[in-house]
Amino acid sequence: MSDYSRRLFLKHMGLQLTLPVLSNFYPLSSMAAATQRKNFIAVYFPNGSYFPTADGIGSWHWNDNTGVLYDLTQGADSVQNNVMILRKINAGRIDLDPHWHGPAAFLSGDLIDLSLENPKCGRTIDQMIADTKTTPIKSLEVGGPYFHIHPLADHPNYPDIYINRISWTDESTPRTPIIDPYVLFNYLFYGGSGSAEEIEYMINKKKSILDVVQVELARVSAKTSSEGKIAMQQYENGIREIELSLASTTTCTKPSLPTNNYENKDFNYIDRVQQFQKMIVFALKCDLTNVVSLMYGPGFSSELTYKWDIGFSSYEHHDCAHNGGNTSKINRLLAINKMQVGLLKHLLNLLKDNGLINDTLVYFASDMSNGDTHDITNIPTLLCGGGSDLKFGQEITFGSPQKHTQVLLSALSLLGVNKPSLGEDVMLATTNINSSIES
Amino acid sequence: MWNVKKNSNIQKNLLAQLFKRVLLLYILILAQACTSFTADEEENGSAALSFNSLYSQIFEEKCLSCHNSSRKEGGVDLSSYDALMSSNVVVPYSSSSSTLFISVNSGNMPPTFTLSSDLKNLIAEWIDAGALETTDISKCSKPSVLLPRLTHFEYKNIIFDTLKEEIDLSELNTLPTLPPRYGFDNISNTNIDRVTAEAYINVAETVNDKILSSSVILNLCSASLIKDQHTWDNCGVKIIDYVGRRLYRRPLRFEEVNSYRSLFFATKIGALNAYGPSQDSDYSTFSKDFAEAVSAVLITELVSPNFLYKMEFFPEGFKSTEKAYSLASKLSLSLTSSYPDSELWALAANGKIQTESVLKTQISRLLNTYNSRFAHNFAGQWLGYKDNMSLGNDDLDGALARESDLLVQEILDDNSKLSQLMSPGYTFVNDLLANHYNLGSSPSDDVYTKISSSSRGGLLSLGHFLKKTSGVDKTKPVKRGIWVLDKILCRTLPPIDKATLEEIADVQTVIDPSASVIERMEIHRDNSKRCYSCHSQIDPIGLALENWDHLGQFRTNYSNGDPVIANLKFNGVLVSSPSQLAVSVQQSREYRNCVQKKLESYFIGSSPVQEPQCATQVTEDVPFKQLTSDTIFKFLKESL
Repeated sequence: MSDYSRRLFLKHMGLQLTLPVLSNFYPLSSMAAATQRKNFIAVYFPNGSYFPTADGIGSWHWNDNTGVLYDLTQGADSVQNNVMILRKINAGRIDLDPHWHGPAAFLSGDLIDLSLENPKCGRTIDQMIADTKTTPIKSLEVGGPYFHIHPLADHPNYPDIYINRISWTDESTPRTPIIDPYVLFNYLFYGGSGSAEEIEYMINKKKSILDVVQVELARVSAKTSSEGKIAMQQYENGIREIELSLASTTTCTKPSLPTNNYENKDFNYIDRVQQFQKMIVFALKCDLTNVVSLMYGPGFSSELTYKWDIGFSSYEHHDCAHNGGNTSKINRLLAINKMQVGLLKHLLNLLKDNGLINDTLVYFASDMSNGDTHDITNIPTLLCGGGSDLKFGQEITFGSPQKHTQVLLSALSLLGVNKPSLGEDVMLATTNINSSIES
Repeated sequence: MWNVKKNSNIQKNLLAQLFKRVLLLYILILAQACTSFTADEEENGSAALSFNSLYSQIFEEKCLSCHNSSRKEGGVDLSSYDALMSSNVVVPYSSSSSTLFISVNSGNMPPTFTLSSDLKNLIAEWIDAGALETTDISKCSKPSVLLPRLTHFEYKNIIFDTLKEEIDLSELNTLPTLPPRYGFDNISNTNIDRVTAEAYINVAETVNDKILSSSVILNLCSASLIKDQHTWDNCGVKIIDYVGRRLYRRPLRFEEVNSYRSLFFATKIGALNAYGPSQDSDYSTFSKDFAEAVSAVLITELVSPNFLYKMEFFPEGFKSTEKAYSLASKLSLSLTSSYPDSELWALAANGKIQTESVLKTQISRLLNTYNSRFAHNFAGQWLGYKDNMSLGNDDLDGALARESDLLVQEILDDNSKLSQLMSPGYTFVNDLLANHYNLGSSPSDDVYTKISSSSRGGLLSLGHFLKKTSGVDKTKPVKRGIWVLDKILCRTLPPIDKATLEEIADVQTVIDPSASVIERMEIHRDNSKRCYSCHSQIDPIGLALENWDHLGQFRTNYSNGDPVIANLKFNGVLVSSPSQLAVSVQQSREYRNCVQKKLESYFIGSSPVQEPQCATQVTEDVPFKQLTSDTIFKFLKESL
């Protein structure tokens, strides 16, 4: 006690007395950081929803069956407690057409470079997250179901690539999504059926083929100039990724092979996406990858009417977004939204059934709110997953508009990637929204 | 004494040399002066058609006090060429559509005095000649050297031609789309990433099945050979060489054959271990291990960069000893979308393709023999109907695509002029289209009959384009106008910036939605200078085409009973009907130059927005086939 004076003792006793008082003002739960997730899925849907007034909620709610999110709350398979609605999230820049700019900035917050010769965007957050992983497949890009070529494609300012890609390795390299379920199946689960020896032989044969192709790439590269070398290098990078993925195909239980016809992009739309989602979840479960980006359609999606899935209509998706107040088109847009939200519900239930929901963060958003006016404020945005550390099951309406890049920074931090900033120009964000979304 | 004489001779020689040098110098100076004089003269002679001349003669003294970079009265800045063009008051080739000329010609500008007729004419002349910044062609940029990829259409044709039959290759639809460059996918240079590589491998596995099932391939090996008797030497190398040279568009190289031989044997051993000896394969007489070995090599060839990239268009892509094959392949890919046929291949093998006369003959032969493929790939992409060619004849979009395709083929076959692309006097209809257009008849949907028509058939009356640029239940004159400006006249409209967006929003508030089409468009044009600069070009075209409804059928009234009226001028000429518009367009050099630009983009990947003074001028109404031949010959001549 001699080394511990009475004064010091009483001082420490005071602190012990004070703490319980302080804790009443500062709940402990708000001081703890949210749990990090292992898997990230970004889901993009084009053309927004029905918002008759800017800054309103329009049809983007789950209060009753007039809302396109209502079905998330219904039934034994309700996922309401796995979804967080975020309001007043802005994305993009007003003078850039969001059909191009929206998909490109969806996961990057970067401006598009309006140059036909050299389309440029920015590195997307799925790739930043993928960099921290050691899975056989670095990241999976899925969706489509087609590559949209806009009639003004040879307008010198808006290359088509921006409409069709949401994942970019770097500013010049977009990542191509797989648009066919059979192709995805073969990519994830190469080998099909057969004995272990036969599958091993097929894998070795494929590796041998790839080896010879790499030799040819090196030969071509040695003789060509820089442009040729870059092309050969990109091809070789792709082959190496395939070789890595071959290493793990024999250890995982495969889902069943898809059986439908997906040749027509407007045919079997729901089944196509559901097949994608089944395989995505299996890939996550098997640790083939931890990072996925999924497009429910390209920007515009004007070649999709979904008539085989939700009934005949002569209005295609883009036309419904530019409804000009036409009731038939608005109703059709709502039907399309409900269908795509239904697909989100399917994905979340798959994650739940496979024990992945708490370990996965799903970012679900569009490129605009009111498609009629190309409004880039109050973008329909959902964060989905599981766990009591985040405010799933709630609506978060910010007092002032937040940038979508702030949401992306939060997504990064929840996946263990801490970045001080993201995006550029009006989309530059230096803070996240963690304090608003954490319980 | 001798020394004195010697010195005198030396002096004379020195003087003679000095004189020669002075004379030579004088000649050189004289020559330079003449060149300079000629250049000055040329500069002076062409200066009237460059921006600098207008600037020095008109803008600097008479306009710049108000229209400078700081003041920009009325949003117009005449201080530089870029500033002027950004002010959106000049429409190249059309002074009658250019606010700059309209203002000075009407006397509105300058506000305090009137320009002389000479100066007004100078402005008009400059605009109508293309509104060039300069006439200096020494700085014309060359098209970027890029490594283009093989298109899906070319892939398919090469397989068809290799197997001599049109097999089902629908699996090509699973390949990622090749994004077009300047509207054409055959000059697309998108790199192959992981997904694309995987897709090509999947397709190759399926195509390999079809190759090994083909009678052409089976016939390469002696029919007397039975299972287990096929070897590398008596069969394998024949198949690999036959397919490989066609895929790569050149003979296989020694090092390639060596690699393939090693792969063949390694795979054969692996297959024997996995499946056992004497197993049946899926391919008639081949044993499993032999089929697997050949398959491994064929798949390698099908995913090789030598197949998937068009090396012949890239420096060093082909070896110097393969130069003739490179030329033959460039020609063949450009006109037939496939590898060189047997005649062309023979000319490459003996080197004769590298002479001008032979090259010209082959260009002509290929355009005659393969005009359908050229029309399909070039015109199909230029006019945007190619994707619909896969639809059935009983599908309206499919039939409309075929109508367009047959028109272009006929124009090529007939050696018709560019103007006849606009007004051919006929079109092609099947039974579906005949009823749709209320025009003649045809035995069935699968038979297309050539029907005379004074109004149908030209580029601006093709049902495909009219339907594609319309909505579900109504026309979109603005969309049609933009399409024509873009595809037929190669005019580039400025991008819509923030200020324009705001003006559009403002103008929309004063437009009565119940007003007629023509009234709404007029209000749009008149209420905003920004809107006017584009819509003065778009609206005359769109309105002139309003007689064609959203399905391309003729009408004189709208569904509400209002008459269809068009009363605007295009290039200074009133165009109140589709045929008047067609005549006006077909007479313009702008249209002819645009066709030329499209051909150049297709063949050599040049941008349609290259330096204006560098664009090839098509001053006469030449046959479309001749323009095509001349363009590709000019491009290939550099390879001779």
